[in-house]
Amino acid sequence: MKRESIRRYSYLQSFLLISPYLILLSIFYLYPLFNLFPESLFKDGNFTLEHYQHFFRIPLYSRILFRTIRISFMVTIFCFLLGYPVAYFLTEIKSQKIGSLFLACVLLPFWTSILVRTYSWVVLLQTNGLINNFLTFTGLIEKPLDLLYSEFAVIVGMVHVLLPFMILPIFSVLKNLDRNLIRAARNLGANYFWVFLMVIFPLSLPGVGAGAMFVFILALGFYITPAILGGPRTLMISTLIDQQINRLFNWDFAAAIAALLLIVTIVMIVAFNKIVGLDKIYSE
Amino acid sequence: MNDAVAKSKERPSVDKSIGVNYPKILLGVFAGVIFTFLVVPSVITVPMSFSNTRFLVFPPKGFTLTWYSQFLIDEEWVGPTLFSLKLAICTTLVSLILGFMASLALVRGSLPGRKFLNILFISPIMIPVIIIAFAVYGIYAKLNLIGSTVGLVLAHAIYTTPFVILVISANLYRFDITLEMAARNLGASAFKTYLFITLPVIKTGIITAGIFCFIMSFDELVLAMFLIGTKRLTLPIKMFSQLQFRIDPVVAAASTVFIMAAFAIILGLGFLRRERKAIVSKEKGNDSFEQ
Repeated sequence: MKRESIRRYSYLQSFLLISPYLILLSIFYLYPLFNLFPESLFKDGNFTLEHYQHFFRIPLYSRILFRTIRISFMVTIFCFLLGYPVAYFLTEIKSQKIGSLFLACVLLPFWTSILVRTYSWVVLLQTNGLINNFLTFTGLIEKPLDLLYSEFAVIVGMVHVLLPFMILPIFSVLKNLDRNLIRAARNLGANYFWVFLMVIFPLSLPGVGAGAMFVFILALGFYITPAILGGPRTLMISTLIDQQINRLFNWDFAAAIAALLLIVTIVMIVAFNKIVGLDKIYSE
Repeated sequence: MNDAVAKSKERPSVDKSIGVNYPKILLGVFAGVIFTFLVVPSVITVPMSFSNTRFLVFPPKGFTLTWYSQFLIDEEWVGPTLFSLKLAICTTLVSLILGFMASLALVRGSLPGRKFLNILFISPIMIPVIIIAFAVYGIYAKLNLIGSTVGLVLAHAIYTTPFVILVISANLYRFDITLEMAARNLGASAFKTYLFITLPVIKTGIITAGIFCFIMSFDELVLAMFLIGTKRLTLPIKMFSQLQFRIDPVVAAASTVFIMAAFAIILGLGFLRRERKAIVSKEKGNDSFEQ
């Protein structure tokens, strides 16, 4: 429509406009990232697959890889299960003021440091923390549970950080839903349950897809939350990379793991783009 | 985001046929629980920061302002805080300029391979930050940029500019180009048109993007940890190392200070917006001024 009439910049002008960021990305982002591959594939100038073989030979590493994928998957599922009703609830609010107040609740976590929020979870989940005290007080459990430094703690912390990334895209799709479709379905005799199942939910799937892909990709590379809430027994790929670099100084091996994670992430981004259309988020 | 909510159309309610709507109540309760879940970890830092104990505890015990005085006076905390502020301000400026230029090209330019560029430009927020930090460390070591402020600003700008591009290009898509044409027709130069038409119209977008950038850079831990060298600390690094040592209430005090600052900014922006709306509606009353 209107977009067609926009005066376009010439090739040269457009190129000049993007060149500063493009140059920055090429030198300090793209080149170093691609450099990970030769770094992990050559040893003293000779081609070797040693580091990759090492990674897949030792069961511990495969377990960490598998755990990372499992945790990311579960975080995505939980974000969907918890986030969808909230997004739906947000679209049901009639009053603008209350609506923006709730939306502010969703966005509030962005305003506080992720470190601080993660340590709040340490305080809440520790042996004599609020949650354990509450559970023992009500008599639900007799002894405090070991909640901290477990996969459970990591998942709670990650869901907490990533939930807004699920809620916002679903909310934005639901909000722009054509209400006439719902009215038509109601008129034709469907009850609320069927309207939701057959009309609203299918139409909101693009939002769910975008949210899920985003959460999953971000979860794969999560560092701070598993580092603090996971403890040494719940290593994820990112914390493993950090350990190899900063504790064991195994740089070549770290480069190999980083390259593997990079490939997985790029594959996910490409899939994301194919399924949902990444550039759609630009025009929203 | 508030604008988006404000714009959503009023819709006639179809729900009046049923007396008590149990699913809806259930949904409300569920949403309430989730909102609590989202808000609690941020909110409990406020009471914890006054706790008279050497560790973070909830519920807090006693009352003290020690942690605040330590955060605001102790050089060990003031130094990293000031450095983080400086870093975040520089990053925001660099990022806004780079991001604004790139958004103009993406939205209004004619670029071959725009789809690819769209994905490339957003990818820094999707690639795990530890990989970027590790990779960048390699090249910074070669170029002797480890520990330099410029190096840190550039690394942070890589990470924050995608958000600037997302926010500003969304604003540019909505921008009514005829405003610019009118200005040019009336004799304004291209530069003046940008200064007096384009920038004021997308001001909200720029401010939003700037705030996002600032927070992301100010809160960023991993890139800084890899690239800062040995001489200095940023606030997140200081917090992280302090917290590994013991769960220090100063961190809660710091967090509270910044939550308060954030509130002040939000309220201030809301106030500004209301003022502007009042002015616009007045103008609309005086003459039929469109858009």
